[in-house]
Amino acid sequence: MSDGLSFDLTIRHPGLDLRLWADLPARGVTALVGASGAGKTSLLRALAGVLPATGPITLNGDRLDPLPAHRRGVGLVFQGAMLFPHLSVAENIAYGAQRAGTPGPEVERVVQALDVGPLISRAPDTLSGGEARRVALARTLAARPRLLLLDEPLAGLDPARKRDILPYLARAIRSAGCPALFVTHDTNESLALADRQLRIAGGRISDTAMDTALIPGRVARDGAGATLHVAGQTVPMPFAAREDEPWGLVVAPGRATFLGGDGPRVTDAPAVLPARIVSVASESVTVDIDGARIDWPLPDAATKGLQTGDSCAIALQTPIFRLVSET
Amino acid sequence: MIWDAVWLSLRLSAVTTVILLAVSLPLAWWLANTRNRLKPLIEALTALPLVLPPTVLGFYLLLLMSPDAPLGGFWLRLTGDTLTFNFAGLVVASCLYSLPFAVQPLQTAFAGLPSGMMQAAATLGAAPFDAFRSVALPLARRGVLTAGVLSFAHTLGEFGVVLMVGGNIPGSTRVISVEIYSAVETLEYRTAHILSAGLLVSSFAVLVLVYGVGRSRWRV
Repeated sequence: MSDGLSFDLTIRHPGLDLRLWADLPARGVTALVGASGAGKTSLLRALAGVLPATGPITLNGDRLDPLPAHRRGVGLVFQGAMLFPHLSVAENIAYGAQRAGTPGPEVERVVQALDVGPLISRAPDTLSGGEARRVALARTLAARPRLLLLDEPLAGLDPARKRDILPYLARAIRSAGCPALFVTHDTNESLALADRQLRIAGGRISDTAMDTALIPGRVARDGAGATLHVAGQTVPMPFAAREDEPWGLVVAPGRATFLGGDGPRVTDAPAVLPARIVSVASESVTVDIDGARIDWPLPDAATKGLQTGDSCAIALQTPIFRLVSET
Repeated sequence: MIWDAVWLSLRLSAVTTVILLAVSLPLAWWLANTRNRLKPLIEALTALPLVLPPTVLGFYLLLLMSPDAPLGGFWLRLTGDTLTFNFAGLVVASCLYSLPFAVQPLQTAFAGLPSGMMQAAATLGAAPFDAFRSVALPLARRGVLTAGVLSFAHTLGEFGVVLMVGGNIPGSTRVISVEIYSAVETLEYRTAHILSAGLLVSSFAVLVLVYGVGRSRWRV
C-alpha cells in the first residue's frame, strides 16, 4: 500500500482538455503553478470530487475517485472563502466538524492556531478579506481532511494582509498532518509555503524542481517584534512569528545575490548570510550556508578567481521565511 | 354563508400551498441545476397556467377528472367519491393553476445561489440532501417565502378553474370568488362589496409582504 497522493486524471470540459498525473508524498506542501486557465483550479476540484473527471485518485492506498465528494475527506479551501452567509463564524466552523465527528478540543486547537476565536460570534459578511480566509481555512481543517487543497488562499489580499495571514496559513498547513496542494501565481508564496512545485502547462503536469535551500533558524521576540536568528545573523521578521517557532530562511538563486571575493561587501539587503564555496564549476558554484548546500549559477566570467574554500555571502533583498517541517 | 366561503377559500389555499411547496421545491431545484434537453419543455408546461385562460385549463381538467377518465376513475375507485365538484378536485385544480407561482420564485432563488456554496458543503462532508437542507434552502428562503405567499394568494383569488371543476356548491366548492359572482348575479351588492374589498386588501397586503419584507440580509 503506497503512501501519499497519486492521481492520473482526464478532465474534459468545453475549452478544457487535461490529462494530469502526479505522485505526491504523504506529508508536505506542494505548490501548483501555471498560467491562468491552465487547469489548476479544475485539478483541485476534480481531486475534491466536485468536478467530473475520469481516472484513479489514490490517497495512502485508498481509492478516492469512486467516492462522492462528501465521502472523500478532501478539504478544499475555495478562492473566495465561500463561507455560508446564513451561519455565524462558529457555525461555519462547526459545519464540517460536526459531520466529521471532530472532537471539541481538536476544533478548539484549530480555532486557536488560526486565531479566529475573537471572530467566533461574527457574521461572515462583517469579516475582512483576510479574516474570511482564516475562517474558511479553520472550517476546512476542523473537518479533519485527509488531503488539504487550497485554491489561491491569498488571492485578492493586499500585501499587508498577505503578510499577516501567511504565518497562520503556514502553521495550519503544517499542523494538518496531511499532504497539502495549493494553487498560487505568486513565486514568493510558493517559496514561503511549499516544499515542492508542480506546473501545469499545455494540459500536462510537470515536476518543477525548486532550486532552493532552507536555512533553519530560531525565532526570538522582543518589544520591536520577531527576529530570526539564522546562520549567525539576526533577520527582522515582517510578521508575528511565535517565540521558538522553527522558521527558516529560504535561499533561492533567482531571489538573492551572490557576493563573492574577499573585498568589502556593501549591500543594503536586510539579510546577508555568510557562506563558503565548496566547489566551482564553469558556470556555477556550490555554496554551503550554515550546513545547507545549494548550486548557484553564475556567469562564466564571474566564477574565475573563485576557489573552493573561499568565503562568500548571499544577500537577500526580500527575505522569504518558511516554517520548517517536522520530519 | 359568507364565512363558509371564506373558510373554504382559506382551507383550499392552505392545503394547496403546502402541496405546491412540497412538489415545487424538488422541481425548481432540478430546473435550476439541470442541463437536460427536456428543461425548456418542462419550464413551458410549468408556466402554461400563466398564459392559458382559466376556462381552458378548467375545461380540460373537468374532462380529466370525470369518472370516465383515467384520473377521475382512479380517484372514484380509491375514495368512492368523484374528483369533480368536491374539495379534492379543487385542490388538484388549484395546484396545477398556481404551479408557476410556486416554481418560478423558487427556481430563480436556487439559480441565484453560487455553485461554490453547494460544493463547499460537499467538501465539508454534507451529502446532497443535507447540503440542500442546510445551505440551499436557508439561502433561498426569500424565494420560498415568495412562493408560499404567492401560491396562497393566487389560490385565494382564483375563479375560472374553480367554477369549471367545482361548480357552485355552497359549503363544498363555493369559494370567495364564486360567492362574489353569485352575489352580483342576485344583486346582493353589499355581500359582493365586503368580499371584494376583503380580497383586494388581502391581495395588496400579500404583495407588500412579497416586495417589502424578507429582503435578503446576506450577500451571496
